[in-house]
Amino acid sequence: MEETLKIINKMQADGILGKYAIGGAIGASFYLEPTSSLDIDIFASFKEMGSSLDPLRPIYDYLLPLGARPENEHLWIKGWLVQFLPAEGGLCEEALSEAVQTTVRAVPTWVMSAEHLMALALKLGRHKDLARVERFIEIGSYDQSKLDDILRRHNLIDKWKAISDK
Amino acid sequence: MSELMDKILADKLATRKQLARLPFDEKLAIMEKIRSRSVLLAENSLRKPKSAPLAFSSKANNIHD
Repeated sequence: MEETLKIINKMQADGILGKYAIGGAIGASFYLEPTSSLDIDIFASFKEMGSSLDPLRPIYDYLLPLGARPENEHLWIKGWLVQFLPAEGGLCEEALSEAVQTTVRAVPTWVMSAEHLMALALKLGRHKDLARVERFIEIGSYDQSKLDDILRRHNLIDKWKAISDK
Repeated sequence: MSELMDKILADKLATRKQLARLPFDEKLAIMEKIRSRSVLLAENSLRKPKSAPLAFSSKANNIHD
């Protein structure tokens, strides 16, 4: 994974990506027990946005000559499937701006906070997202007051009650 | 639920909490092992759907490292 992150950091240094943060299942694994996941979700602000019909084009144009291979909406980069997702909307933009700096095998990177990962999963609301929220609740690896603040500001209290009252 | 089952579930949760507290680099080593096992299992012809997703094929995993 560290080789994949080095490429992503280089994209950032070269101005293809703005700030980025790891989200999704891999992001959650920074706080939860390790699980199997094939892909890394990279939420980012795209500095060089392509056309509205093909916003990821600059990313593909940059990565394909470096050996990345597209597969559906993902790219294989150094052995990991990576999906680049635009950080759009209030909650996602906030999750990106408040991402936590960390390292993966000495490679610097950013990961969304546990509370933002939970809020985004609640908002998405698919079975696998809600299962992830339940894992956070079971493990207890989050700050309840910080989560409450995020849920309140992004109108997710009802969704939280539906799952936390189970 | 029986007392034994309660204890088994409590032990499982304790193990998961212990794993969650590991440094990410240690978790990543575990995840890489789980991931390679998953790919091997998916390669089994009994598991392979008629139109297997490329993500699980040996082709996809050999050419991009």
